[in-house]
Amino acid sequence: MRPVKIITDSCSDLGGDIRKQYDIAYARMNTEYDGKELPASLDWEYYTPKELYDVMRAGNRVLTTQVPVDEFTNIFTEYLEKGFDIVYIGCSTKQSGSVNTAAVVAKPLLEKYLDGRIFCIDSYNACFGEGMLAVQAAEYRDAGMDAQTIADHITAVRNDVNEYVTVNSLDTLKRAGRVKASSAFLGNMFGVKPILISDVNGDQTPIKKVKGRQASMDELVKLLKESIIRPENQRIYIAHADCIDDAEYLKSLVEKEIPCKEIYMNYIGPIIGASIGPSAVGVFGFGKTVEFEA
Amino acid sequence: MGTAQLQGKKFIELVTGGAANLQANVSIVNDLNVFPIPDGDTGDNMSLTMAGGIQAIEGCSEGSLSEISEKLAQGMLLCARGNSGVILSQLFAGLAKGFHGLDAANIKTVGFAIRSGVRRAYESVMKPTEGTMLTVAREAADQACADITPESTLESFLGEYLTEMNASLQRTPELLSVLKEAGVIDSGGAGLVYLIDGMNRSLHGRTEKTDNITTKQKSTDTRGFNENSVMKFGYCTEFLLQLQTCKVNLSSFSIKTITNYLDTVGDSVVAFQTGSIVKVHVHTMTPGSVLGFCQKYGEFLSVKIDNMAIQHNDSIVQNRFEISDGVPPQKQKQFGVVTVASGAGVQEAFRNLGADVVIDGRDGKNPSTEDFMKAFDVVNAETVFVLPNNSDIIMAARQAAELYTKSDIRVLESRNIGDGYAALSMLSFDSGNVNEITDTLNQAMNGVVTGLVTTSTRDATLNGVTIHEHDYIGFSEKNMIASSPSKTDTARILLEKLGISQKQVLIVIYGIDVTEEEKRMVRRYMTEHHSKVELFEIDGGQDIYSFMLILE
Repeated sequence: MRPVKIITDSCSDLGGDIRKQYDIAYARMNTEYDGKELPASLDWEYYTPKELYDVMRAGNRVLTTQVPVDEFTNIFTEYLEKGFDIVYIGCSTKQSGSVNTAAVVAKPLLEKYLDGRIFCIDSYNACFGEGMLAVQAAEYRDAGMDAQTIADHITAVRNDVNEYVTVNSLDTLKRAGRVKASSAFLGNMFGVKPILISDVNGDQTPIKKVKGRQASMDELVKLLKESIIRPENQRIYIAHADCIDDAEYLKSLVEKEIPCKEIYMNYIGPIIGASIGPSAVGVFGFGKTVEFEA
Repeated sequence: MGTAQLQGKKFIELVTGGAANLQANVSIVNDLNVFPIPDGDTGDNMSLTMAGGIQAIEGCSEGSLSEISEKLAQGMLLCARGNSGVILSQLFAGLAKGFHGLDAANIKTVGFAIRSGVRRAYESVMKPTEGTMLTVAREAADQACADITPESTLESFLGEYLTEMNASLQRTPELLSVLKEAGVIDSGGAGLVYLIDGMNRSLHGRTEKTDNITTKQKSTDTRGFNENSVMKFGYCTEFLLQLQTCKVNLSSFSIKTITNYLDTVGDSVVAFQTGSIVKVHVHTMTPGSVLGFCQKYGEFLSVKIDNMAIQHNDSIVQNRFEISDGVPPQKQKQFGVVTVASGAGVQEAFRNLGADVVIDGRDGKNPSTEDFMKAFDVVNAETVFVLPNNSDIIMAARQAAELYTKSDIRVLESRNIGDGYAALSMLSFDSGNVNEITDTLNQAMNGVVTGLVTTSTRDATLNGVTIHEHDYIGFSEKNMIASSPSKTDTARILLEKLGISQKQVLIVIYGIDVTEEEKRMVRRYMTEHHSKVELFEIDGGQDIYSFMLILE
């Protein structure tokens, strides 16, 4: 059996530590602001999280691009050359065109590397919802599955990812065109906080309103507690867009409410951050299959 | 005599012209971008992708058609940005495949290659969506290629290809509902038309830019007003007026000059001044006289006048006078909301939060039972939720609910503006369950506190607070809490006594008399003393209360 390389992208928000632990590579998208286009590094080599989020706090828009063709070409070639099969788990196609581009790039490469295989999977998720699928894929790989089997398994569980995220305002998501919301959420909400999930098709959509930031964070944990399955065997993921105090609060609440194997906390990376805006926080785990459709 | 063969050199000329035309229209294409992600970059993505291809074929004019088209496609793929860029690159990759091994191509082969491009583009997309540039490329190719005859020339072919493409583009909203809702055609398709248009121009030796694409669909439905209609609703009239020193003394000019006049010829008046520019919104039967009056003080920077009988319903300010004319009933929707508020800014905020009708509720003009019933008619929903927002109005609303038979009317006990806001901000019909929605709205009103600041009309001592005539007073429910000669001090004392430090959110609705400086003082006070409380400001435009403070 050929060895398998798991690849994700800048939207997975997996930090260097966990990528190293699970031997996961990622294809980089780009951010663009102040007239500079820079790779969206999950290791923050080009700017710090605070620098990026401060740009947005000052009212400036950070633009993003999907994974460029040459980035995919390079990373796929690197591993095909080494004799790997590739499972690429990308950001929801409702949010990014990267999975499509990957498939376009893969086709001619496979004409050259006749023995190689590349599976490009729409994760239906973003942020840790995508990242945790990549980690799951790595665990399947380490259990000895081949690329095809891993791809099938990930496809089967991608709707079991439970994401609950809150933001202070939907403005950034709306401006980036990355939220699918009914009119009840579209006006100025004056302090009412939306709870967002990734729906059955991978659209980010608000499902309910909560009064105030504090209550919205409590609601995230309450919702995850209700829907998560076998938390004791899982890692729960907590993501934050440069609001570490809120993330620490969520962590303490999760520790208290949902006994789990491990908690992994990290910044929301440059790409998701640019779309969701500073102050977003969210919790992620595997649970009941998502059926909600926006 | 036309061109019978497409040579490599000609191909370079054509795509270069196409790329230039696309580049020239990039912002138009960006503005059309609503699918799949409305981030307004389709034009940039396509243009940059095209530019990458053009760069790759620079200096290749001696090459064969096959070599050049392959280089172009390769360059485009490497520079492909966004979905639209990738699809565009694949159209050209398929084209190159169709030209493979050829020095030059006759028209039939050109058609074949174009269709090869369409196939390649469709293959490249996991879930092809119709109503996008894929459809535009496919329909145009199918039609134009089917019409190729031995007499066809490059000129005749490209001309028809462009015509068909444009026709297909105009049909995209019928295939993709997000386009129809936004009233636009597909952006990627439009980009493609600009590209082919540029190629066509280049073929005819023309490079000037004209607009042959209709970029916006008509969004006005004029059925609301015809030759037999009687003008009932008037015109929603909005303009920006640049005050001019040659017409008016800027330092002594008061916006009241204009608002006082507007009140005599219209309603739903919103007017404010920023520097020497005045922004006006008014509903009037006689927009001509409004413009005539205002022109005495300056000139217009922009003017918008809409007949409200045919206006988009989301921008109508429903007030009691308009309601009395009624609107012909259509099919009932499931849920609706009627609320009561005064001040254009507050009404606007309530409409934004989801109210279908905001009845004008200025003090002394409490809405009658009849006003409510007319509002229910306008909403025309199976269930109507009513937020009276004033304890003195709840009775009238209840009575209307009893008398009204066409809908299930649920009157909520919102006693003041804060209750109404708190309830509306949590409004969501997603559950589809009337009782559940009612419960949510009722619960939302728990824990909200409303404070009001106005001026006293007499000397008094109330609730232990000594008040002088013309002083500002602050109260909540019916309890007097604060009094001071200073407007902002009154607000500050009121906020403290209402327990602002324990709250998460403060909404301040400014009355018409509040100055920018006073607003700044409120902001500064909140930042310095209560930075954890989220502050939201609304220019309410109400006349009696300087500040309406909603604490949650």
